[in-house]
Amino acid sequence: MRRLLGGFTLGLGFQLRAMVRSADTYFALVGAPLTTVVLMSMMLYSGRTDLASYAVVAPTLMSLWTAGLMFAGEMISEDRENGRLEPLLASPVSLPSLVFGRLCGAMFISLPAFALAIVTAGLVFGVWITIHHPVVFVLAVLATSLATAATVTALSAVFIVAPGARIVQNSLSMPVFLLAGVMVPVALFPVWLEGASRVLYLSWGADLFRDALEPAPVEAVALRLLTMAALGAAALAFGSLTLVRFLRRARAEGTLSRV
Amino acid sequence: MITPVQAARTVRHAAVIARADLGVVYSWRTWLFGWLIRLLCQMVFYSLVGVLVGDPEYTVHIVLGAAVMTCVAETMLATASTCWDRHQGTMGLLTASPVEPGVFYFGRSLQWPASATATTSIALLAVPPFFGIAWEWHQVPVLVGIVVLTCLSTYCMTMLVASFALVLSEARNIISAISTTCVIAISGAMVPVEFWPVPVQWIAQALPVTHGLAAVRAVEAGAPASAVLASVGLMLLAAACWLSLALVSFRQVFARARTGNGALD
Repeated sequence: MRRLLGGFTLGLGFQLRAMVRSADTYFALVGAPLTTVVLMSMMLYSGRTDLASYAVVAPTLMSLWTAGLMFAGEMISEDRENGRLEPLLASPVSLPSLVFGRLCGAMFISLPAFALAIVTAGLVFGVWITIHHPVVFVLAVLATSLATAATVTALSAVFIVAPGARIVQNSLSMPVFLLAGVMVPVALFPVWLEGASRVLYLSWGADLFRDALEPAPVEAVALRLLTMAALGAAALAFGSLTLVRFLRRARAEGTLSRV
Repeated sequence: MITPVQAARTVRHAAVIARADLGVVYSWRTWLFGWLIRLLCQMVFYSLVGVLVGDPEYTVHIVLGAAVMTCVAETMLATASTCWDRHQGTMGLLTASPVEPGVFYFGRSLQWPASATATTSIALLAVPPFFGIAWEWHQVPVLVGIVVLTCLSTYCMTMLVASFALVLSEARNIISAISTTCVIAISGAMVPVEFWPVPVQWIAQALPVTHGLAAVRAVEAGAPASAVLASVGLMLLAAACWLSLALVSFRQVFARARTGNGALD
């Protein structure tokens, strides 16, 4: 347990320090206000100011996923290039918990992303979004961030096991945004597509985010949070097992330098 | 002063790198099932906002805008590829060579407008029918022709952005992302240009893609050929201005680097 917790806290702290200096952080963040401008202009032009909160939620979730995907793709290869991978594997900390901790650190980007989106909507268009259910909102942020970190931990494992998959890393963003309904709720999709979308934790997170900003009461909060937790836990378990098995084999066969 | 023959030769030689880079970045499988799918998803992502707000006429506006924006998203990648020489260690050789830098860089990233022509044509011809836009057969070659010119014109604009990114190469992806989203916002793709304040409308008129998109909308609306040609003419004029500025800008960047005052290490 100490190995797991130690790895997690080390990873979290390291990532937070590294992100401040990383251009990738600002790349993920810069999209939030700009996408807000595009989406909010569409809401205002069409006269649907009642959907203004959608134009703030979508850019926040897009920044979250973009950052997670970017850091998950680069993390292990950067560790190797900087000569950190071998000492890390020789140390007593658990690598999966270190990776998960680092990616949880990357999720802190959701806070400035949401702030930038909400301030942009207010300053540029004069539309100030109210958080009608602050407790649900905080829980939605936490659950979505943790589930994102867990899912991209699984992806980082996939990127190591199958380096060819990294070629499509940049292509994974838009299909996920579309399928998870970060802007257009999946409830508007055809039934067969909605079923597929519900497998993505992000579709539950996007719905809960939006509902937390609406004045109407939020239904089935616990069930939705649990669903996200379950999907995140499954992804984390898959990622951890894949990482552990792959690294054990790489150590046994002496192929670590090829990771 | 560089002659047209020298310029063509420089572009042709630089395009060899463009073709090689495209082959390294994508195989036909990853291009088709990764890159193209990503761009089509981006188009559908924006188009569904029209469905969300419940306005079929506005949905048509967004679908066409989002399709044409595919070319912006892709040609803007030239901002990054312009900086690749700095990371590959070939920058010193380029700076020392007697090449006209702007002309070289025009050829060096030609893979993006070439690929964008294919992706944008597919986006414009294949997706709109799902949103109630039916193209006539005679409109297809006209649309593809507009797409080719729009991709090249947007590429000319990207060249100026790329010349700035060459100096600030750590921020190349941020510069590219900001430029792409700003163009999507103000060029009339998602909301009409008139939605924005007048100064922003002026900036929009300077963007080649604003006129390329106007030409596509004119074709869709069945407007006379003169209206389509007028928009295409304005687009080419804007592209010529952007390219001229880019050539000057690249020359300045290289001139500073050659005297030891630039930051092209």
